[in-house]
Amino acid sequence: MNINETPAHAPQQPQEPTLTQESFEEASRITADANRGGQKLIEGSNLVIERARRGGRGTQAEGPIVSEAIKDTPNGSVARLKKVEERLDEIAPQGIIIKSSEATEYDELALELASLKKRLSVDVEVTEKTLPSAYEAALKRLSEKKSVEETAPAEVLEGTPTETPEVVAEGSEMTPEEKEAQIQEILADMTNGVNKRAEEAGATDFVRNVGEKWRTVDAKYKYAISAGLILSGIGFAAIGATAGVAAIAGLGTVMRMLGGAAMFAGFEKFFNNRHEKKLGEKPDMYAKDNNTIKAGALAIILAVALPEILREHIQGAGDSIHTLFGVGTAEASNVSTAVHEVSNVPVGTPWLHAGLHDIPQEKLAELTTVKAGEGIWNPVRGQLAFAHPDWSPAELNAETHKILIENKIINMDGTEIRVHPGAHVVVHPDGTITHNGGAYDYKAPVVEAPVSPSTPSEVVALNPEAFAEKADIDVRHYINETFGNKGFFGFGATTPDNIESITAWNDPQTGFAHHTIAELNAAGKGPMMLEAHRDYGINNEALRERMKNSIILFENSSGVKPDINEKIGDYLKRATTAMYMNQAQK
Amino acid sequence: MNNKELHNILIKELGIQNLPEEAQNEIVSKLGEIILKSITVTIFEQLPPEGRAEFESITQSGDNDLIQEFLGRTIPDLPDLMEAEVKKVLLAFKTAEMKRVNG
Repeated sequence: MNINETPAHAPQQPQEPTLTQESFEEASRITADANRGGQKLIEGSNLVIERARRGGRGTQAEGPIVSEAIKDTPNGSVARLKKVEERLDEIAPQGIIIKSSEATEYDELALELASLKKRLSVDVEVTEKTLPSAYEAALKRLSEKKSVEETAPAEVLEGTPTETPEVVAEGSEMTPEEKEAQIQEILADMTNGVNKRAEEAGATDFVRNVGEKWRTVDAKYKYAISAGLILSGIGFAAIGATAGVAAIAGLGTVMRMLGGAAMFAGFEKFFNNRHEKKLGEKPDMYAKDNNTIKAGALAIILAVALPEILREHIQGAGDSIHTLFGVGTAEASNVSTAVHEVSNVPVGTPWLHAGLHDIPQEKLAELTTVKAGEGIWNPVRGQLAFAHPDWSPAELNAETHKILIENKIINMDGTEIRVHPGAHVVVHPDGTITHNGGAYDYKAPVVEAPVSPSTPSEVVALNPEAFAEKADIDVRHYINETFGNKGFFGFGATTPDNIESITAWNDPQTGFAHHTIAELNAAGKGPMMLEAHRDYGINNEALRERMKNSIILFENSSGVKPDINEKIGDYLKRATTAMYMNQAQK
Repeated sequence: MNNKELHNILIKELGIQNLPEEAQNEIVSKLGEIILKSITVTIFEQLPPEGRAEFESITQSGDNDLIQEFLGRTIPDLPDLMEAEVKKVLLAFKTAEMKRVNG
């Protein structure tokens, strides 16, 4: 994919963004004014980004918009960019927001737009001449003028020296040491600004306590929490839902511990309920991620005032939490760990899952015990269900599945680790599992054993058609959440009922719905099916893995084994139908 | 996309990709501290003087339900305010970077 290719209709040199010094100063002033209020901030940031947007896109007369001038990246950033631009134009033609209720969406889109442009300019190695981001172009333009006045938001940066710093000579570049020193100075100024605000708000002691407590937190946790907060500000939609989900899954655990599990869960529920009440719909994946981060932040802040809760939950965390973002090292994280055998179940210790501290011993024993004929699935799911009573069955299944995969309890080759009945299985705060039973490999007939597509006879008697319709709808929702624009790589349906538009699911050549499980297993071992669809559906390795995991999830939930020659779409519906019918029988 | 990629996105967004890894992590953590403190201040700013004392008292009590009820009643827009505060800090950081670069 040559990102520097320019279509015939486009000029050779796209219009340079026109973020002007004037507009930047205007935005900065508004930002300063907005320092003590949320809404004005939105307006201020809107202006900054709006200037960037206008500059970045140019006009039709001046040249093509960015998203039309380049081919897409593997993760669809350009396509997303175009969607964001279109939505921005819809919400705010001529840069004016028509409905005040859409201000927040506008603000998020504007930030996402800036983020996408900046990311594209880095990821695809576009030169500044051919495709500068608005941000970079602004720097260049301002640098050329060499006459910048004091433009930073004074109240945000209280403590900033008022004299004009030395101008960086054109073409000169700072060394990493100089850059670091500069940023440290900025952070010090911002800290001073916050402290001054705290003083004015009568929150000096409280904020100081937050700082002191923060200093006691291990560096790797600090990094993980900070990264989550920053990413929430950037917007998970801009980052990609997969990354967001992965990050939040880990961050949620850390934040629960630092902030107190009960308090964290309470705020998470509070934010999600508020979202539903305000907008009349359940929060989607992005909103949930954001709520998780906000709940964690609030719980941490308040835990400062609740030392007992903080101490209770931070004890035992120790080094058992595995790397998040390669915490402290920037290495790729691999949360997966081997299953550890323990001699005694640590009942009543803080090593249990973060939400299981206060339950009676009898209940804990019941939740952790493996029953005859069961695998590790039930104890894990049971503990999660007890710790998170607000989670839906789908969320519980997904998290259980994720834990089992990460702990290598179940594998894609059909093997599964099982322990003997009576053994205890414990889920720890970091998502690892320990048990005290003899482990043995169990070959689960996941995809190898063709079985009759028919459901058990006693179930058929319940009239499967009655459940098939419901199953069809639920599978659509599941696919939309998992593979649509709410769940993966940003492409797909815009509404739960618009499943037909999901390329990864329904495309005639590459959509999973039209392929058998055998084809899924064989995919990736030969040439791509269609160049035009090379990143989609069954041709996409990440999507394939997700679909394989989904099939295991459906099998575990329904007990219905897939036929390798059965189309994936048919299997998911069949398994879901059986699940409902089994439930109805009970 | 793995967490390494996520880390890369993060440091690119902050414009610190050319710094040593240790410095990157420290900057991210410091920014996190500023965000947490800023959110704390925002909560206080939204409360009337008498509410601030009550807030401190309630948080000391450790009663989760009471804390949630209090915040829901006194700062109904808290989630939006928190979100705005995070964005404000990031915007201030980027603005300051631009200003410093250009003198």
